[in-house]
Amino acid sequence: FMKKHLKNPYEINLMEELTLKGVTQYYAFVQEKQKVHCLNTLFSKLQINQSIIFCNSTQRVELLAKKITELGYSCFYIHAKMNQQHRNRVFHDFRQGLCRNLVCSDLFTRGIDIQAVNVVINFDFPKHSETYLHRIGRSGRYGHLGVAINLITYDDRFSLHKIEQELCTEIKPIPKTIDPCLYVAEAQQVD
Amino acid sequence: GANSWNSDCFSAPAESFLQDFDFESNLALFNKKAVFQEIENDFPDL
Repeated sequence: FMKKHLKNPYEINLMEELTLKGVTQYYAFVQEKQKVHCLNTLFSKLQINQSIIFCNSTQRVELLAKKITELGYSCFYIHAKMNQQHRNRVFHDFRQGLCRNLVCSDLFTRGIDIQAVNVVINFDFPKHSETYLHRIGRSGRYGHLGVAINLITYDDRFSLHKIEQELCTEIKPIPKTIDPCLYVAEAQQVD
Repeated sequence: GANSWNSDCFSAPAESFLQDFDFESNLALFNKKAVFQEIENDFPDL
């Protein structure tokens, strides 16, 4: 088709490469039963502008969204079993800033670039580096700063090792305090 | 299966979270370097 209809075309790839540059990556070591407690503490400690929280199944997205609401935080959720129209509306509303937190499964094939999102939490650690990159990576065009926090259980050790190797990156243990300059826009302007 | 995994994760009551989660003492339970070393020794082709 291209050869027939285009004369001397210029080929441009408009898909931006996803990068982990600018994203500070931490892990917290937890047991499955500590995850919600850990998340609750993160919500209270971090200066979240907007956050996205990833789970590995649609059922867990719903269970977690319910739990977060019980804890007194507002959240939207989207997953693969919702119809596209509904998903689009929730995502649009989140992008507009109508809600601070979004819980979701792996729906986005190109990564998510919402300027206002400064914290991404992997409530469930992914099994593949491609999934990790889509969740955490930013397209180079924006390259704004943010933190990613991974809740790691002992069962995730192989995935953690594999993903660090394959992406040539390091996920560090979460420090006692996270420097706001790493992810809070106002703190960066002060400098 | 998935159900026991989920109930493990989501059954704790919100009241049990009044104190902050202790990140430091949990991190101390996982020696990342040693665990990675073990993985690499068992699967040298990785």
